[in-house]
Amino acid sequence: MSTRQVNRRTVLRGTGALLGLPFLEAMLPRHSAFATPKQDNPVRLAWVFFPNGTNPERWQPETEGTDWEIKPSLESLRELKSDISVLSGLAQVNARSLGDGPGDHARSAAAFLTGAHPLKTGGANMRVGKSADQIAADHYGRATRLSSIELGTEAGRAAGSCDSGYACAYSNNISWRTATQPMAKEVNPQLAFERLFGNGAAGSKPEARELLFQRSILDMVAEDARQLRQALGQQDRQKLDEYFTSVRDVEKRIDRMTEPLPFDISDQRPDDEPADIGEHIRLMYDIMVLAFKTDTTRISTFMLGNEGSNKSYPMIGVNDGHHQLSHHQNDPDKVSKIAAIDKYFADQFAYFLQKLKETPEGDGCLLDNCLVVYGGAIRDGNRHDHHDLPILLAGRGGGLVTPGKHVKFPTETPLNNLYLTMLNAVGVDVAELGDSTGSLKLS
Amino acid sequence: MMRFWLAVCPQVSTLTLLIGCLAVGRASGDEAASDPFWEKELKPFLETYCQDCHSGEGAEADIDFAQYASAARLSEERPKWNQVRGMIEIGAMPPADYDPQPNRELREKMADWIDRQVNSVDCDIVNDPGRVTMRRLNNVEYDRTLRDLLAIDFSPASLIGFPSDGVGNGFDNQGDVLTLSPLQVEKYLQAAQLITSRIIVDDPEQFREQRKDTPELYRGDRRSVQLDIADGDYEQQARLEFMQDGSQEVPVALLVDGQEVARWDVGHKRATHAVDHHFESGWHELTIHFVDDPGSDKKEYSRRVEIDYLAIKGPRDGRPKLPAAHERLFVARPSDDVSVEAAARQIFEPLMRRAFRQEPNPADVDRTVTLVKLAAEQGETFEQAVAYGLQAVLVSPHFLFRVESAAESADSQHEQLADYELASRLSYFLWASMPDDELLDLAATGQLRSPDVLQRQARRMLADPKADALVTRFFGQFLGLGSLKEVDPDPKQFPQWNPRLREAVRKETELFCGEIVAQDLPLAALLVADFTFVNPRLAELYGIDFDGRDPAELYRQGPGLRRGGNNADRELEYLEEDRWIRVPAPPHRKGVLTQAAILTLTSNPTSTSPVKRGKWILESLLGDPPPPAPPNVPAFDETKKDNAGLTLRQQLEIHRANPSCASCHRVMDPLGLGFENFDAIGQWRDKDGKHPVDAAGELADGRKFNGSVELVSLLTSRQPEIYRHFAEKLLTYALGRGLEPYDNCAIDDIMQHAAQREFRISAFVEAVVASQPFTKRRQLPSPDSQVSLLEEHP
Repeated sequence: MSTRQVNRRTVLRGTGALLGLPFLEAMLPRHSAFATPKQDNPVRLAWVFFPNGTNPERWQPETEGTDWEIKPSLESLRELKSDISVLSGLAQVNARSLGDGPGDHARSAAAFLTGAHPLKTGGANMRVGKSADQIAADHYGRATRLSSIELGTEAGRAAGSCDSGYACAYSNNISWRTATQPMAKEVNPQLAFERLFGNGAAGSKPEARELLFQRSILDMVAEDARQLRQALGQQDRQKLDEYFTSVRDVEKRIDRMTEPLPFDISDQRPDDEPADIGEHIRLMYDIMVLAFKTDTTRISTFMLGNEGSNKSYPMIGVNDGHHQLSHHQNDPDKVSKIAAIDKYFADQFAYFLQKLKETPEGDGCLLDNCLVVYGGAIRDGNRHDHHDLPILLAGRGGGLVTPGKHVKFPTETPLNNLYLTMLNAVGVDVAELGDSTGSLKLS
Repeated sequence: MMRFWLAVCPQVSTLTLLIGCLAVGRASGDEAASDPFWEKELKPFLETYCQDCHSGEGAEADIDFAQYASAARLSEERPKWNQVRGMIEIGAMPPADYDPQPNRELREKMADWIDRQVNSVDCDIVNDPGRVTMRRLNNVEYDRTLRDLLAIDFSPASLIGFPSDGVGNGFDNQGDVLTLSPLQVEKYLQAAQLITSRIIVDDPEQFREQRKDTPELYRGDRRSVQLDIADGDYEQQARLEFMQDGSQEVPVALLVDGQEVARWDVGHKRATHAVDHHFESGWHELTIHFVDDPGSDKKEYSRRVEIDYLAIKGPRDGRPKLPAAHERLFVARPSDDVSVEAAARQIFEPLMRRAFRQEPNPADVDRTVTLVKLAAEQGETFEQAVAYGLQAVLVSPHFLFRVESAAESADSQHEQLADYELASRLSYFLWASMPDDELLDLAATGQLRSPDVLQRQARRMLADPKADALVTRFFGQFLGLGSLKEVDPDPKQFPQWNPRLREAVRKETELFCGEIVAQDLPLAALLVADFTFVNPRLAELYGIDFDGRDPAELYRQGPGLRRGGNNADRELEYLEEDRWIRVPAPPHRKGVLTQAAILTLTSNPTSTSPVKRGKWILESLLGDPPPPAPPNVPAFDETKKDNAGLTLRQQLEIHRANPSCASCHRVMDPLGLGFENFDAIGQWRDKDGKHPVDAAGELADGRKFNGSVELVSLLTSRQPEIYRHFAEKLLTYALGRGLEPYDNCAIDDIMQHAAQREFRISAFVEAVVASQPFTKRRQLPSPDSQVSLLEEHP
């Protein structure tokens, strides 16, 4: 395969100019042919990440099994108790220093979905691992308009280093397309909506002609990139490969744009800047619900904040920064403020689950066909520990999971075992994932 | 870098490179291994004074001295060993309560040796210009490049909502972390569509009328607008109203290029006034002038003239002038004699040279022309077909990346950058944008690489308004001003903190740095300048007059408040909100350390943080960051100061009683405590809560001070470190990569050059531009050795 490609390029080089025409024309007829493979009530996968750990005493249940007790920070999930499970004992050991010194926040976000240990660097040779959602996207995301969506509330930091010598990309992303290429996230609800649904009108899709030219342009620049690549050194090639694969991903997406939107959701387009972080989070959850409901994507990640975020939450009386508070030294006032933030996040999450639950699908509801992981890779922000993580799993995954329990897994069970189980459940045939050691029993 | 070479070398078969590897290895490794100083001096020193805590399982701060059998690895772990060196040198380690204690002489001896071992390179042997990873234009560079390429006056990056750029080594222009995701490519495509839809005009008739909005006039005011006008006869219109109730009228004049062409009596009824005028083709200035107010001799809000718009209609005959961006793009159109293909070629050949910042590959031009031709054949207008071609140019890797590929071998190890590449390095360094025509032409004729030409160009570019990028991009990130976006001072304590004040404190520091650049002052001014800039809002924060007037009064007279706003906060506009004046530094203030921006971004929302302020000085100014707090030692609690009725200073003293904290905090805390007279948004205060502020202190080296001005003066003794750190940061920004030990050779040169000219900004800039890493790059392994790496895409 690779030899033939090289030969083709050599031929192209030899014939010189005007190689644009053939491929442009070649692609003209082959549109509209694309059709989404229909699948009834597919399982949707989502990961919702929160930064800075929790106050575990008020978050993690103690009693195991179906008779578990909701702790105060998760109070708002009480009505959804039979739809969620708390999974204790899971660890993300690659978030630990492992000899790299400080930087737990950067490592936590980087390891959360990858189960890999990020290379400590302020820039050069940034590397962690491909994240679970992107592995799922490759195999399970092909049928939908978008293979996956990545959402957040905070753009990247605009200045300085983010955490103790780690490049900011580690703290700002949980989704990694490859070990070296973070998936940028959309933080503006309005733009996120438009990207997914255009104006949201039923049957709407971009004009075929417009798509055709977009497609031609992308084909053309991909050819530019192919030729340019040969003149470059190794490091530069890696950058160009990011470009090349991204262009290809967008091409695939354009090919799938020919499927019209099944419902009218134009009235749900967010129009203004969100008033506060709570509304911001809810708007993003709305978009996730819509994306799942319309089968625009089946895979989503959402960062409620970047890891190490120092946002304040004045609407619940927390005027200090989140990160600063998380180093609470057991000061009762600070501990309760951390718990208040934990609860605030959980309130919004309950809103999300409730919406999924209220959306009918098949014989049940959309939530029944979801597997939503809610958690982070720091247990307690005051300690920066990465075992016994706060992890919640919501939904039934179309019957693959029986929720409503508090399960304690053996200490240091890799969190990636959960992801491996989820991916296998939707038919992604991988034997291992990051530092996974096996599957979890979730039924 | 060692790691890079060791990783790469096994795949490289050529003999030269193997020798290269060995040479590098020997310079920092083998010699060190056999160094008698390590065996006889440093190793025993570490065993005696350090290894009680720093060895084996659970070594403090992850530093395990016992694992170093020789000194071979020291230079590979440069940041770590520089921290070790710093700790030993300043007496921060071993902790004060540890017994025994090394004396000062012994400390210095160890620190000196580590310094030489870790940081020094023999520039005659190593002589490595490094190699920069291909850089994607960051969002700011993207916007500025399009502004210069297509004369657009909007920001596609913010309109389309580009994802934020990665930050590495303190800057957002570092090749390695400027990653690209599918989302970003989608956004580039959208931006290209937005740009073409905005600049390419399908219907010229819509430009037969041009309207401009201008703010209201007070007695004596003039407001001007600039218009690009085609030759011909026009009607000029102004829709005006004198806002004072009653029947009074006031004279308002209209001027064209300074000459009065009409004078109208404007009354309390909104009305359109008009006059005819013949214009020559080109730019003209229209000015509206509130000549006099017979009813008052002051500027009064109620006696203002409001302007709905200024407009010109025309020309009566002929084609109107289209927006500059359109005119500039369409240098050719198809006609009977000119084919679509030929016209497209005339447009895209020069455009792609500018867009790609080098001679475009003929095949790339052909592809673009073919696309235009195909689109036209599909029935698109020529304008729309060109729009598609332009979109393709704007998402091409040649546009989005700063490609440096044209290898021109100078000697066996280095490549001289091609002139076009040098032009881009210069322009993105000083302007954060593309090279202008002068640079491109110098590159085309191969003159740019001459050192004289480079210097002249650097000087020219520094004087250009586009060098504002050096202030907003370089100084802004050097000082960390971007963090201001994230600070949230407690609204209860600081009701006057709002987006306008946030913007004002940032602007003060930018104007201040801009003045240092514009006046080409010695860098010392950053620390000790006795001037700054204020607008009315900032003058009030600083408790000084604004141009002889009380800023509080200017707030009460501000347009917002007059319309019934609230007086308690400062959310509305001051009168003359946007006027900035240079003033002598306010009392107790001197240099950037006492400016509200720095004081705020080093505070917590509810209180000041002497620790953060001290850390900021060490990290951002001296380039000597303290190590992060050891794991499991929580950051000091600064928000509960009333808990035990102790002052912040007393609490910090208790904190320092903990030996593992003391080592660093006895360096950091005094620096920060010197600024305690400034609260968490940089206002002067005599008391912190109920406690009087005590801003006296003693530096780790024993020198005493009282208050910020004295402390700043003491810091001037650290100028050599400050300058060197500045040079390192400037080079990092200019190159777009982190510095490596071999870059010390270039830094030495830069320091030497800057020293000859009192460390003026221009001296730093010129020396960076002339430096080897800026003008050259390390040669790649020969193509043959790369065969195994040549894999096809997935």
